[in-house]
Amino acid sequence: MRIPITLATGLALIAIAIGVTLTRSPARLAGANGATRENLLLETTTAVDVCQPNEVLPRDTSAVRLSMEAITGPKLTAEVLAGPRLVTDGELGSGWIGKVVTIPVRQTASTIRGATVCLAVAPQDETVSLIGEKTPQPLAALRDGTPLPGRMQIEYLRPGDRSWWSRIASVVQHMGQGRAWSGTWIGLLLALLMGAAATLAFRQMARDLR
Amino acid sequence: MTSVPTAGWICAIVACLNATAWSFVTPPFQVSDEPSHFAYVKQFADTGHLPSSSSEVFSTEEILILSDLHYDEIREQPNHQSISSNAAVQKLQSDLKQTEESRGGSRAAAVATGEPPLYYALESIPYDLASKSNLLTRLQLMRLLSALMCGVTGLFVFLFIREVLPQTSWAWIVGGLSIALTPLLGFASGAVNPEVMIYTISAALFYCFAKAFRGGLTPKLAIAIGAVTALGFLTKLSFVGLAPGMLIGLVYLTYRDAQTSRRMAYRCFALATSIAVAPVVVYVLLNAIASQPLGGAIANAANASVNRSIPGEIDYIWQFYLPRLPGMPHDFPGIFTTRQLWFNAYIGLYGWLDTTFPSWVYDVALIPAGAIAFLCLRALVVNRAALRRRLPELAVYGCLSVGVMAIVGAASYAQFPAIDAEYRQARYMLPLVPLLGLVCALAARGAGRRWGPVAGAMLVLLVFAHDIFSQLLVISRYYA
Repeated sequence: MRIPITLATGLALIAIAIGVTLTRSPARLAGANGATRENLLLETTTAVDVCQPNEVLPRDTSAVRLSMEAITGPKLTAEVLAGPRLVTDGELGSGWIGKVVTIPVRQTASTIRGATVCLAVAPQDETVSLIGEKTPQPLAALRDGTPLPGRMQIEYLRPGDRSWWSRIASVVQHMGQGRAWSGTWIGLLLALLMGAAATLAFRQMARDLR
Repeated sequence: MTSVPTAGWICAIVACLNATAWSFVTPPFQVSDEPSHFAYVKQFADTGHLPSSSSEVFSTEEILILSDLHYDEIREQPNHQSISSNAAVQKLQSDLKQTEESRGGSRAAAVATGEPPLYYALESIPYDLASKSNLLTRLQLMRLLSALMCGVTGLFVFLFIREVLPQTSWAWIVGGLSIALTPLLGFASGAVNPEVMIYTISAALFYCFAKAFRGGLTPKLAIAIGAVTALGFLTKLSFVGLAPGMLIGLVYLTYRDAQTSRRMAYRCFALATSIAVAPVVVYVLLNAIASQPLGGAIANAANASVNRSIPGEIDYIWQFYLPRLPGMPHDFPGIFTTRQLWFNAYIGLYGWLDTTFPSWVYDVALIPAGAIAFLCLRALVVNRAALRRRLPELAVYGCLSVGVMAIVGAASYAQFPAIDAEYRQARYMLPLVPLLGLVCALAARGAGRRWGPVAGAMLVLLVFAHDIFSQLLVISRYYA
């Protein structure tokens, strides 16, 4: 009896975990500084501090997203300042990969205008690239006080207000687009495939693990 | 192959179903290098010729559909999702319809160019079956063939564990299902990529060796090992990493079996090696006829690192996987490669390496991983007498593993230090899934006679949960 109980309990816990996870909401875009990601602003293989003034930090910001590229990225620390006052900060551990990084920060209570977003890039061997948009010098980000060729592309994220449960229909509809055989049937197909896999697997386990 | 128990077929079917599900979860071309591999198949199927250029100027049809899918905007940018606007979807459908009958490949297949043709020739079958359909239909059918191969991988992993742990039949399904439901395997196998076939071939090779260590190297097994190795050489260049381990295994088995019958042992060795090297000999001859370097692409790759330092390369490859030892240069400052590059990537790094869990998931994952490692170690310690008797067998599996890791590390070293870890993808370690399955089976055994089956059930449940949440993660990244 231990095995069927273990399997039943485990599957129930998984179902509960899925249910709880779906009550949460995806992060939403709270704001962006409007810079494009067309130009290489900086390539570095050493530690560097970059600060960008004249940013608007939206209320409830919980993460900042920057256009940076690396295959094995270094540790990143983000700080948002209003004058000399630290408004929020956060960090992303080393080892990230890709063209966009999202750094979680402490959620902010109110919108801050004229903020300065500072990014500290830890030392590394590999080249890390900062991508943004070319601007005149007065608008540009600063590297250790020296203007870069332009501004970083920065997006601000905040917790969403619609749970995943409320978005299931739109997600399934989206899944059915842009592929060989369109349609919302794809959600049902997925459920059937994984349901069949689980049924076969756990039924056989109940037989073999006696 | 002695008769396969039902559990083995179940592992195969579950692996196939899981990979099939992943083939529908991941949007078209949002798996590393899939456009290149598709381009190779298209060139081969449409023109009968192999690609010859490593540029990314694919066929007109493929470029059009990639553009309609906003492939460049989505790839590596998790802030962009798959297309959903009416305008984008309608344009895609219109272009798919217009290009249904269009054929014509391109000499360009980017990173896939230069790879052996076997996998791509097999994928040309579903491609041709859907020849009257649009490009995305052809892609999906090709993905389903990869999923089928994953099923065969699941079967061979089960059979391998059965050979290695013949006394613990209940642990076979634990190991088999732990692999069949592994999300990384499902994700990688739900795409068009010759790596999928290497997983199958590698699992078959592990099984053949396990069988040979149990019952001796028979002529049938020698032919099987040779044939599997030949298929590997014909599938992907990186299979070369498994070759040294294969040879060492053959040499040892020949030496061992020669104590009983020298003639039979040497005959089996000759059978296996001659079949195994046949594709290599043909390749060298073809290069000679075409006045190309005899080693072809492999020689080119080796020459790329000929001016690099061997000690430096060894230091790098060590640190690519393991913590730096005193006296070694700091090749990965601030990065714990074992965890950040490999463990975390195994836990969750999908899409074009742009889809990750929140960082706390990787921290929490250390707990069950530690428990599994502990239980596996316990099983080994408890059975250390049997372990000692089977050291040569374990050494062969170790050599196969080191070969896989060395070839990936060496390829990364060729790009170092411009890129710290070019080939830091956990899927390159999936040829070693038979050993991962064995670890899971041993971990269940390590919980003892009374609680072992319960531990095994919990382990498979854990892997299943990992799989489901990984699929939900990818769905949230592309479709939310």
